[in-house]
Amino acid sequence: MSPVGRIRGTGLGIVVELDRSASLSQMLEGLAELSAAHGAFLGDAPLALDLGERPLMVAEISVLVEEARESGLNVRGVLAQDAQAKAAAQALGLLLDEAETPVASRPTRPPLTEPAQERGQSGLVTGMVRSGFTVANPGTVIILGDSNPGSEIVAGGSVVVWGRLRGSVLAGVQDASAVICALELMPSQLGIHGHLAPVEGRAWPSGPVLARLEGQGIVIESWHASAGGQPGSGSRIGSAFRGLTRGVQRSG
Amino acid sequence: MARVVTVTSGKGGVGKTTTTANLAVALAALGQRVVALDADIGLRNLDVVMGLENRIVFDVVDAAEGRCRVRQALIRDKRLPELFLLPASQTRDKDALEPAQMVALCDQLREEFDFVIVDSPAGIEGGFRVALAPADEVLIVTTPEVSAVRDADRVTGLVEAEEKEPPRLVINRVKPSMVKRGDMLGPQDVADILSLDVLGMVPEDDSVVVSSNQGAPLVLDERNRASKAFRNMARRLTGETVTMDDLVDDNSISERLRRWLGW
Repeated sequence: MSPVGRIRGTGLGIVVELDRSASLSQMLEGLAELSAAHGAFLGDAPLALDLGERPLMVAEISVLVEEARESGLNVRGVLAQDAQAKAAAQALGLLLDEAETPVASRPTRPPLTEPAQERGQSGLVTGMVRSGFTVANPGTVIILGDSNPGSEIVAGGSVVVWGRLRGSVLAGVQDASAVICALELMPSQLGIHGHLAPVEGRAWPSGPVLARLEGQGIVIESWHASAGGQPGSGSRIGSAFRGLTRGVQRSG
Repeated sequence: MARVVTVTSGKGGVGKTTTTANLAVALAALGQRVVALDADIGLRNLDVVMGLENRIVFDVVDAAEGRCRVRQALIRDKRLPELFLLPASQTRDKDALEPAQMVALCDQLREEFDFVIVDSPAGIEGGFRVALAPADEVLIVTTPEVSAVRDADRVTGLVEAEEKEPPRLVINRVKPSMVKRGDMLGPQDVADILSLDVLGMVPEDDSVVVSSNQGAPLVLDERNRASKAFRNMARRLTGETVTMDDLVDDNSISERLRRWLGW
């Protein structure tokens, strides 16, 4: 049975389904055969490889796509149902969405892109953000100074205040993985990606903290609390950052 | 060449006029040539506090609109020959002047005087902007009360946005006993919250009411602590280094209060 299954046309262009039981080398053979047999017909038509529910890793997907391209197939990217494969494909910049409208083929990118560049410039403010003033930026907002009660920070991405955050802060307007960091967090209002944290009468942890969205709620992690963590586990804020970079939503 | 110092606050009733009058008198007592300029048009008080309300013929609007020369609007103080008052109009309101007019007026005064102390109206609209326009230096008056500090912060932001030098704080009506009990913000807390340097701190003093009513600025009486605070501030304005009076010994108690209030 051919490792290459159905070929169908969708809004993405031509989708080549790969047999779930085929091994990687069998798939590679199958794609080479496809190219040889139908290369003329397919020409430069953009193709998507449907990996189905196969849990493939970064290296495997990379090889698959590379070899397919070398054999003359214009592979734009892959479709994947499996979470691991999806993440791997996304890291390679090869993940396609079948619901997506077709666009010109995109170049692959290294896994850890600078999020700010995708969503607009980071905004850096040096000095106090005083009462009645607003700092708004579609990207990340960084403040070297305090934000006072009566001030507002609105960011598409994360908010970092190297000082006391005492005003209103709404982060992650466009990014659910956004975080809010401050040397001292005592906000009059705090929200991430549309979710507001309760603030009235709340005792905020003292010292540097990081606030992030977990599920439907906002979690506040204290820098000092990490001192009591398990040996070898690293600081809690450190692990929050690791979770952040993996979870960043990147388009394309 | 005069240095123009605008005294403002945002919040009303915290002591701008008292500060203007007392600083002007203290500077004159140090030998400086001073004009106290009332920019609170429509609600003039500086003349009353200085005891010169019966001597007003022309006011700042008359001078700005050319109905008189600036010299004609200046009223010499009863007690100090180097001190003058340029009173506000009482029949007009805060919109009567444009910032450019105030700048032009102060430029005329710069030649002959060492200091022009401008009493700003409360608020953050036109009248405040007119008073702010000619300033070489701004003093923000506040009391150690959350609402006053909030307004001071707002005004400071507006002053900074005008790219003036960072303003200095005058912390007025400090009650050391209340600060010690933790019922009042300490002056250091206020300065810390506002992130501003302090020109001086003035203790609460009943004599201020008496002196206002009598039209004899407090600073003329050398005996009380509030008077001393104003005199020290005047010296600092001339560039002298004067050690800050420690009104309150222990500021740590108000830390608890600060957190509770959300500062």
